[in-house]
Amino acid sequence: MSTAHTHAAGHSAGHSGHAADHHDAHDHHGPEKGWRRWVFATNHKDIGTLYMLFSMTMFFIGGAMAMVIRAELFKPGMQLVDPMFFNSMTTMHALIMIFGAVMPAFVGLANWMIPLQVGAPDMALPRMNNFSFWILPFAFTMLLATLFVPGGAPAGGWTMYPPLSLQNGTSFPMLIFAVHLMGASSIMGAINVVVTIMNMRAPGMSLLKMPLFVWTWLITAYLLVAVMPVLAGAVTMLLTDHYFGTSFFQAAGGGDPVMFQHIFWFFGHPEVYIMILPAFGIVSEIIPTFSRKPLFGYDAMVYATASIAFLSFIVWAHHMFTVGMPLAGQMFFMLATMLISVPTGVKVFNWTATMFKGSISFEPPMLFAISFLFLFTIGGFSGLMLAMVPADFQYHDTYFVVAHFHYVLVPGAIFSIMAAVYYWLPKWTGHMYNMKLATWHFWLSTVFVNVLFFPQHFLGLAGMPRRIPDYSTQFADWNMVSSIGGFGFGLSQLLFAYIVISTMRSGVKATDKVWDGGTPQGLEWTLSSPPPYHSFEVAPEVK
Amino acid sequence: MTQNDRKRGIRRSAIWMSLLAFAIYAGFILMAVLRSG
Repeated sequence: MSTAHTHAAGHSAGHSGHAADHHDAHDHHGPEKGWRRWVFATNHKDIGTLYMLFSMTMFFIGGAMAMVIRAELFKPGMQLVDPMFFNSMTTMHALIMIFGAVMPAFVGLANWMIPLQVGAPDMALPRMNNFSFWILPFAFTMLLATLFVPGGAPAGGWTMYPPLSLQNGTSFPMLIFAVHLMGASSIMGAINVVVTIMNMRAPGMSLLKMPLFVWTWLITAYLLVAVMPVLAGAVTMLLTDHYFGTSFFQAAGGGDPVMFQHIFWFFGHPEVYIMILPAFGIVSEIIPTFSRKPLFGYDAMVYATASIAFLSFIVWAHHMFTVGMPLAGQMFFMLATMLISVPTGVKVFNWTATMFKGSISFEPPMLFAISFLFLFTIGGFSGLMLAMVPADFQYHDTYFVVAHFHYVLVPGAIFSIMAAVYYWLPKWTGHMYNMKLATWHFWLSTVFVNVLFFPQHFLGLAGMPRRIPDYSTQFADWNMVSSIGGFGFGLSQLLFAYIVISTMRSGVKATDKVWDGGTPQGLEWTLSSPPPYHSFEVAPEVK
Repeated sequence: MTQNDRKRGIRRSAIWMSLLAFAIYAGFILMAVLRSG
């Protein structure tokens, strides 16, 4: 992080010309009482809290589906559910975890932290902020309702490839509408982030003085605005193919099903970075605090993030090598994909260099950040293996791919969210959580996540296909180990929910700086814990 | 920067971002229409 933050004057000093205007605009009113506070919320902290709680709810619903999947795969043969329902579980688990758990959690963190970190009183567009949140419960209620319609929930995979997805029954239009709503919500959230960062920064906070979390979110927001409309376009075309006689993707009418895959993955690969760039920002905030050193190579971190975002637009076809493409295309997408390891390597190097010779302590946020560093790197390495065309022909649609993206998304994205919650929860609630329980949560999660996902590399390399409810007996042992890891990981997360909810209700009073032993940087630590209802009524001055 | 400048900036960047999102949505569908022809 830029050293500029150490000079931040805080909310009690550094009056600027427009400070008085903020006073007038907000009129010092507090939150509304009862349900109106939440339904009509326009305060960035309230909306952030709504997003985070919604995300946690979806995390447990999606997690319950994962438990069904792992229970069915506990041993060979069909034991608990019929194959169609199993396919619905894999499809719904992915949709709920990606669009309902991970993305809303990051938007919730953005809502909470961006105004605090840039020294703004609120997000730039608070009413749109309310709308973009409240769309989500409707979208996911509709998506979950598909479990109860004739024909069951969508079962063709979260990628919605035609022609399979076009064969879905009643659930199809509900899925398409839900995806449109999620997309609209994400686009509005992203516009709000861009507009806030570009227009609401405190005086003196130039772009290269912004905290890394704000930088990574700015780049993520541009990615969202660029690719969510692509997904919306793809599913609109699916809808017209199904109901209005078009043939965008129907071979019988002269359409091309492979075109859907190109369009989908033009959205889908940047989507992966949408779920990981804010994680990079979080880790870049936490590691310096608990290493008691400034972040190594701040500028390089910003440029690396921007490079990853750019490269994410030119690698999409590595998801579909096996559908066939010209050799030049294979070479291009393989090499472009491998190129991503350069800026990612810069980041991993810089985090390690930040810790080097630091006075490190291992509070729960730091534990999760270090775990992220190791385990995300494993996911990165398996991604490099998958980038190689001839190897991908072997690994495609096997459990190796499942292991790869779960390493990126669980100990990657989700661990970073947990790290962020443990880092900022005392700031949000004004209460310190039980460190011993949080440390238990960390160790249980880290051990079980590896028991859950590491054996899936072996299963994939041995040839076990993904998205199947039954398998050959040769895969029995590692599947059982993986399922045990899954149940352990799932149960461990109940501890997380308990820690978060109990800290919201009560706990030892947290100080304003929260991490007094560490070196937390940034404007958020100049405010009280919890911060006042309107964050910076007087804009702080950043030198 | 005055409060009015800031409001104008907010309005301007929100409109441009919305137009960009809509243009990408319409552009991709148009591209698919042209390719299907």
